[in-house]
Amino acid sequence: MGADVILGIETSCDETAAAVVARASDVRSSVVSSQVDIHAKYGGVVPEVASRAHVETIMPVVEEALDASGLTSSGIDAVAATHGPGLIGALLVGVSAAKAISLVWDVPFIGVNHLEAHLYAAFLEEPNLEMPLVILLVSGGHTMLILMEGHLRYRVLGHTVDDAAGEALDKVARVLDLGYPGGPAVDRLSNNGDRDAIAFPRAMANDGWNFSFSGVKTAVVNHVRKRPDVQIADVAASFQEAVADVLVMKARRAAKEYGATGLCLAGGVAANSRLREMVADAAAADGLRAFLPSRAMCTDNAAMVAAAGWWRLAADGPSGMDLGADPSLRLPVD
Amino acid sequence: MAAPLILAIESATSCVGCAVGTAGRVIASTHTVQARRHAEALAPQIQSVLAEAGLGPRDLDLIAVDVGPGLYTGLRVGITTARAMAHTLDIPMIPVTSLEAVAHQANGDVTVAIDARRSEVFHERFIGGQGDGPAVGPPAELGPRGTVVGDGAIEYSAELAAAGYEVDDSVAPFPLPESVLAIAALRAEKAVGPTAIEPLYLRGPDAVAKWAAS
Ligand SMILES: [Zn+2]
Repeated sequence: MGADVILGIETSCDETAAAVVARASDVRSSVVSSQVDIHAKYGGVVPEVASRAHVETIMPVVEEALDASGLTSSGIDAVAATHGPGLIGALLVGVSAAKAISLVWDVPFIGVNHLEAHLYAAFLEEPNLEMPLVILLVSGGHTMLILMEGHLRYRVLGHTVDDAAGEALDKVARVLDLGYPGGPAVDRLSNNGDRDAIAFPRAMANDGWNFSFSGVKTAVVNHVRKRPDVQIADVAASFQEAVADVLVMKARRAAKEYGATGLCLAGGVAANSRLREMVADAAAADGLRAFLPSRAMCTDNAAMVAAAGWWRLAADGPSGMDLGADPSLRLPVD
Repeated sequence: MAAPLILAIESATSCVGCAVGTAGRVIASTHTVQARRHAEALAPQIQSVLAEAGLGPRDLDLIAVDVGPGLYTGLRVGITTARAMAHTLDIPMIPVTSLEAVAHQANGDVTVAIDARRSEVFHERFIGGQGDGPAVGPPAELGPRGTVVGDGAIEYSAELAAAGYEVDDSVAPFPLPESVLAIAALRAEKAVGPTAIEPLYLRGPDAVAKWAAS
């Protein structure tokens, strides 16, 4: 087949990333330049700041990924870039760079869906992952329960009706004064707390496939306000437990209902240690395979973009050079 | 040595386009005025202009790009495209400002005003072809009275007229790729590496962030 080695580019939020991947599984290089320090002083990602930083960083990151891959331009068969969903100004930097590079090298350009890329992160480390598979895609912007039936074939079983899981983690971290980014801070503090100390609500636990995290966030705010002397490590651990509990409960139920052979995590929140532990335990108890991509593959990176790009190129062919960015792009479902 | 072959990229305002040519000669060019479609338009335009000229990317000696000031999104598309091409081709670049490009389209001494949104314009006064430096501010405060050109002049023509300026709407109001090419050709010896090319925002991201949040 024609396209073997793909240069992937990712700029949908606050990471500028490039990677070289062969056959959707052999990661030759993966470079991620994080803007987390730049955004920390604002307490969140500022789109204009992110876009400006991507412009400065994109080509040095691409060059570093190429250098590290040991390949030259003649060894690259296609260029893939995330074209949505994400921050419009940020996405346009990656899409523009990818199109320009593919134009000069005269190789296909492929626009990649960021959510699909997250789903393909698991296959980078486990190329022969069996399907059907239940995937929890959890990040700062998304919380989705997905049934992956085959390559490029998904069903979105459920999603959050309000806050994303990562968004709730960030907000609670702010309430507890843990700094930015909030997810890793809650995770760290929870190690010193009692996860059974406070019974925070498990919203919609027995109700369909959707999630809601705004109620548990409000419960945390109220709890801390009423008891200013509470151990914040207990609050963090109990809150994290409530969030992970609902996620895993529904993933397990979905695996049973749809006959999935495994449970898989994807997205930045998949780096959460308690969530990983609960998925592993649930899979063991239910006789399922658990697949927990490494932390580097859970958070935004370009290797997953190259992997999804490889599959998309094989199935649909190249994208047009007139492809733009779509900030609210959805996961393609049958 | 033959005059260098230049690809000029323009996307600093609602106008997006490109031109290929040398000093005094445009071989092929195109542009379209379509706000917020910069990313969709630019790459196909580059392909078609190169094809029309019977050239490939590897024939190029220099990439010129409008670095602004202008629409932030447009600037980022144009500058990223230009830099990525120059970087990948390992050829140097020439930055041209949007204000210089519009001044090039006018005859004689003018003040160029480019719409900066938020009731402001990016502006610069050109005397004898020499600019006094780009700035951003309210349209009625462009310095000495005289002729004003550019899309900002047209957008705020009533205010400018009331403040004693003369708006000349016969001058092409958007910077055009042919102008970027012509200016770049005059500066071919002053080419720089892609990393030296930076967008001319004229406003800090903090101001943008606060404004967006308010
Ligand atoms: Zn992501």
